[in-house]
Amino acid sequence: MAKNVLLVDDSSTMRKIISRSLRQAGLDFGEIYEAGDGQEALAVLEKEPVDIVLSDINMPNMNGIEFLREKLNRPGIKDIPVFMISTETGDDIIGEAKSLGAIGALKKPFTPDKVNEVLGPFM
Amino acid sequence: MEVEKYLIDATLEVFTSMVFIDIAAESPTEESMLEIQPNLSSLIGFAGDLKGILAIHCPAAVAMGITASMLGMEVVELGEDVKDAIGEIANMVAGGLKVGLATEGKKIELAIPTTVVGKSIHTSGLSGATRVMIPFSIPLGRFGIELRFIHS
Amino acid sequence: MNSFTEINDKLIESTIEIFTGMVMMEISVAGEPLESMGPLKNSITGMVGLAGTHKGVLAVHFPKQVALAVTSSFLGMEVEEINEDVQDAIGEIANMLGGNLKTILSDRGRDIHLSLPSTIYGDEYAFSSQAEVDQIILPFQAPTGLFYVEVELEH
Repeated sequence: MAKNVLLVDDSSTMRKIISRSLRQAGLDFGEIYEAGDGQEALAVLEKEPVDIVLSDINMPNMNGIEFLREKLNRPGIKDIPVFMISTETGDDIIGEAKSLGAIGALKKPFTPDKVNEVLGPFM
Repeated sequence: MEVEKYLIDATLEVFTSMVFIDIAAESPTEESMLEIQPNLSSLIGFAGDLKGILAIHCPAAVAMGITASMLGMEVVELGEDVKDAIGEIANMVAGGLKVGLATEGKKIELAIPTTVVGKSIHTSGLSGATRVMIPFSIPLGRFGIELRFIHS
Repeated sequence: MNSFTEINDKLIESTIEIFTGMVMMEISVAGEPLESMGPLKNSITGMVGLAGTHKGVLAVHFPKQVALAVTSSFLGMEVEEINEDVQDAIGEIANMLGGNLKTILSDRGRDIHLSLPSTIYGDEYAFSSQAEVDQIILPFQAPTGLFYVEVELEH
């Protein structure tokens, strides 16, 4: 069954790059929603039927960590799986994200195979 | 220290995972990047056990072609998408260099990517640093990865 | 720009100090900080990256005439064109400004290190950073024209 995904990143270019990577991975995606920061992401989650979230960490207004923290307070959406998109910033931030409920992370650059490996079980 | 290998590995990894374009590394060279005739250069500095700067130099057509493939859409000008995409490539290649250096116990931290777009742009660094220049070919043309560094 | 209102004055002060002390050139602030700059024509830019607890970039943009005058004064020699000496001089100025910025930010408890400086020059170019940053551009008046000190810091 097609799954709807929410992409959260302050760069619209990055969101397009990730969309392309998801399509290349051949996973069965339905709608691809987008948000520019944690705040917008929460608004989308409250409104739209999102099955999986992919989120950057560094964003203005509300970053990836703050987004995870706030999401835990929202009963309707707190269980939607979230994966972080990380760069070389290191494992401690990912550790913190996981302690706030993130399921896993995709470290850039990631291959379509890697996307399949990490997201496949949730599709 | 295997800087050239780390740069080549990182660039090939970025291209095969996220750019989806055939790419081949050429031999590291002394040639100045002017041979590449760049219209766009993305630079990212780093500091730590090594201090330096990594740059990607692309002619317009190559930058646009790379961006079009990364985004899966048509690109007709050197706009924000191109600067962001090539800037992101610089960031990821520098990240790969960081991982490579870590295997030798050398630690670096990255700054942020900046992009310069223009007609006949020249980039240079302080003379006295070690310089590595590696051209790459893709079907659309060539681009260069240039690294300058000193040991801290 | 919250992160800058506190350091603006110190940044201006240290730029003037570097120019009077090392470049041997009188400069002054040339108006309010700018939010953005258009493309640079016939110019040279010296830049240095900041890494550590806060990431960023410091860039100093000189129109060619000002760059030549600055180099002549700094190195004590006549220069007619943008050559290696000019590139080195402009790079060194970016390095010194970066060093001062590092001190200003370190005094506020931030652990920051500088990359190597680099210079970019050309007939016409636009300079921008790709990260989510706070940005400020300070204009200065030198005897032969204006130049600009640009600082970008990640949130």
